[in-house]
Amino acid sequence: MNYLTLFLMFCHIGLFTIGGGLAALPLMHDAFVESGILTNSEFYDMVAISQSTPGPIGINMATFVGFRNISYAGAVIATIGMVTPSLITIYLIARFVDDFEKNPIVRRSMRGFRTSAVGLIASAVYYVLIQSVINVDEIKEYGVTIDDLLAVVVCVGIGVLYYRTKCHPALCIAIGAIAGVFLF
Amino acid sequence: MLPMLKREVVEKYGWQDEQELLNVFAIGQSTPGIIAINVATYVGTRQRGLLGAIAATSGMVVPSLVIITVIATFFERFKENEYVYKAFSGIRVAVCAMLVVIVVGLARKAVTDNAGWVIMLGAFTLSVIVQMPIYMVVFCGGLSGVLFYSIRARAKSDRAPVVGPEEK
Repeated sequence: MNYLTLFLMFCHIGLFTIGGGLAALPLMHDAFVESGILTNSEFYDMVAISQSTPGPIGINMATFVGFRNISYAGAVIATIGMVTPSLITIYLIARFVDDFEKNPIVRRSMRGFRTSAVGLIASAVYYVLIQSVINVDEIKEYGVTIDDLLAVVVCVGIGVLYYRTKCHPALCIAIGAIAGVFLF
Repeated sequence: MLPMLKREVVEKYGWQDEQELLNVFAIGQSTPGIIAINVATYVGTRQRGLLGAIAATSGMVVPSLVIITVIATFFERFKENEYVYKAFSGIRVAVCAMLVVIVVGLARKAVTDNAGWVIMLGAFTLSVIVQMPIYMVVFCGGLSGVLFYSIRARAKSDRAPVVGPEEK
C-alpha cells in the first residue's frame, strides 16, 4: 500500500464515522479485515489496546492500523487522514454557519446516524463474538470444548463487571489477559 | 473527556462559556468525525481561525500518536510469544464483553421509538447479512432519519387543531 492510498482510506473512514467514535470500527473492519490486510484477531487485538490507552479509540485505531501498514510514516499519515474530513467540515461550520445544530434536517439525520451507528457497532460485536468467544467453525470441527464454555463464562463475567462498575477498560483487558494465559 | 473539556475550555482558559460549549458538543456530534476532536477543532477555529483549528486538532491527536506508536512497536516484537498469544485470546473475549455492554447502553439511549428499531436493526442487517459497504449503510441511516422524522413532524402538524389562539 502506498502513502496516498492509506491517506485516502482514512479520509474515507474519518468522513463516515458519524454518530460516535466507535462507529469507526465497522468502517475499519470493512476496509482492512474484509480485504485481508489484517486478520480478524489482529484487528480486535488493536481494538483492545486502543480502548485501554488514552485518546479517542478512533484516533488510536487509525494510528495503530497505519503503523501496521507503513510503520511510523503510516501511523502519522493514517491519523492525519482520519481527522482531515472533520477538520475541514468543522472549520467551515465554525466560520460560516450559525445554528447548524438547530437545523431540523441536521437533527433528524443525526438521529438516524446515531441509531444506525448502534447497529453498526453491533456488527463489530458480532465479528469478535463469532471469532473469539463462540467460534462456529471451530465448534463444527472440534465440537464444544471446555475452552468454549470458559470463554462464554469469562465473557459474561467481564460484561457484568463492566456494566456494574463502569471500571476502566484496562482492568477488563487485564482480567481477560489473565484468563487467557491460565484458562485457555 | 467531556468534563475535562469543560474544565479546561470554560474554566481555565475562558474560550467559551458553558452554554456555548454545550452547543459545540451538539455540533460535534452532528458532523463526521470524533466528537472530542470536533470540539477541539471548533474551539480552535473560534480562537484563531484556520491555524487555531489545526493547532487544537493536532494537540488532541499527538499524544495518541506517540503512545500508540510506542506500544505498537513493542506489540510487533512480542506478538509471537506464547504467553502473549494466549493472553490476547482472553483479551479479545474481554473486548467482546465490553462492546456488548456499550452497544446495549447506546441502544437504550438512541432507540426510543419504532423508527429507531428499524434503523438500528436495518443497519446491522445491511452490514452483516447484505454485506453492503459501510459508507452506504451510514448514508442510509442518515437518510432514514430525515425521512422518518420529517414524516412524523408533518403528521403531527397535520393533526394539530386548526383553530389558533387568535380565533376565540
